Amino acid sequence: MNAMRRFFTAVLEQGNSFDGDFQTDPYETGWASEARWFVRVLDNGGRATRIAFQTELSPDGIVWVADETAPVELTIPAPPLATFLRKDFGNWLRLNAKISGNERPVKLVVYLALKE
Amino acid sequence: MTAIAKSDLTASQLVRAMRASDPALSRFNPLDRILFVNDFDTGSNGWAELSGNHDNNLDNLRARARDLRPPQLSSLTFFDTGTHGSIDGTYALKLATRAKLNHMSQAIKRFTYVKRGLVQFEMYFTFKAETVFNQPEAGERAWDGNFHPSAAQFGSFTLSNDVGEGEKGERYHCALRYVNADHTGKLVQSWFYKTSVQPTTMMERTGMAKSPDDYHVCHPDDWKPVPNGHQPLCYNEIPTKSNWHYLRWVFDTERRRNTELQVNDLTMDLRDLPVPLYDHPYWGCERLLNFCLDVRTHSEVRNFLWVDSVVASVDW
Repeated sequence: MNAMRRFFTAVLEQGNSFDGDFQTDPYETGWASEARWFVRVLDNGGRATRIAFQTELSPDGIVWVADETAPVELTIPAPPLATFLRKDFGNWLRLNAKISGNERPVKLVVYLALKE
Repeated sequence: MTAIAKSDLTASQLVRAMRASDPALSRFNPLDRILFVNDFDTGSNGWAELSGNHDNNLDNLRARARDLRPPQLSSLTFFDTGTHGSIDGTYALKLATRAKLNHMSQAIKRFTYVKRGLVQFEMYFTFKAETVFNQPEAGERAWDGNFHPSAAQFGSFTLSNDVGEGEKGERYHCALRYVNADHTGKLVQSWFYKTSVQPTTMMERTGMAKSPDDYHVCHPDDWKPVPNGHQPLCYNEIPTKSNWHYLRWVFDTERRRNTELQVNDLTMDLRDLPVPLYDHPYWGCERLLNFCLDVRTHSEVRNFLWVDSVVASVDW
């Protein structure tokens, strides 16, 4: 019997509001070979909001470093869903978000879709 | 013609012998019918983040039933020695709180039942507080080469269920909590059972209950010690050594009671401990049988509970 590929979507931010920069909590992804972020904007928090997303990597879930890619910039208003893919990582992933220009908190759902 | 010798084995002895010959099952002691065997090297096996109820608007999740964190397939990887791994293979299921006072992470596996009776939940588990570099030592017992301050930074973990007999029957949650340390960091290392119902979304929305401080109970003090339930577990000195413990919990959906809890060499008789029932009905929870695990931090340090593996069985 051929094994199906393992898959798991983790909701790392469940409609939480942010009025400044934030990082998602450490998440273990060593079993997966690809990790796709989805960020859904539920409330734009003001017309001029910009969010820069950077995937961060860690050997231990404690000390973090930006991955080798350029940040993904999202300017709101924008399509309500942003997505970007990571393929080379170790065991730990988190998302670092830098928020600027917001007049009030930005409400987001952050999904991490992992596939073996 | 030679007569075939009649076997001396009974059917149940044969089943037991076959299970004992399976290395994965041999470390468990299931009842007659196995409902599931979950080894987390094969995936999350239906253990999902618990969520409260809502009307498709996440703003309407009640405070204690949101952000309970997705479970993780963990390789138990640490800063000092790298990957610890699970009992067999690489992965275990991990629940992780946020680094936030009283934050709880809960995972759930959802079933229904065919028949009322005994249900047994077995698992191997280990637990730790997260490694924190440059830990403040004020007010804590200092590291002495044996005791590590992180031992007092792990709050508690809880086993619970959710049983619904239907709109004309009862609904209740059994909950058993291991309190490792209190809010002052004093080691408690004892098992507790709860004495009030778990406030639900409906209870909060209709004004029957306030938003609780503790997910499981109406008031945070609604817990009583399990008789003879003091049990230091194996912390093993530092936050990056993980020793697996055996746990076997039996509850009885006929009697609506816990039956017993075994953790390593301690077996606690729970048959006479009351389990609070809701005094109002719930629609749509026919023959509901959910299994839940959670971990709760009492400080601003992440707490982790790992499980590998889980076997649930019933007596029907």
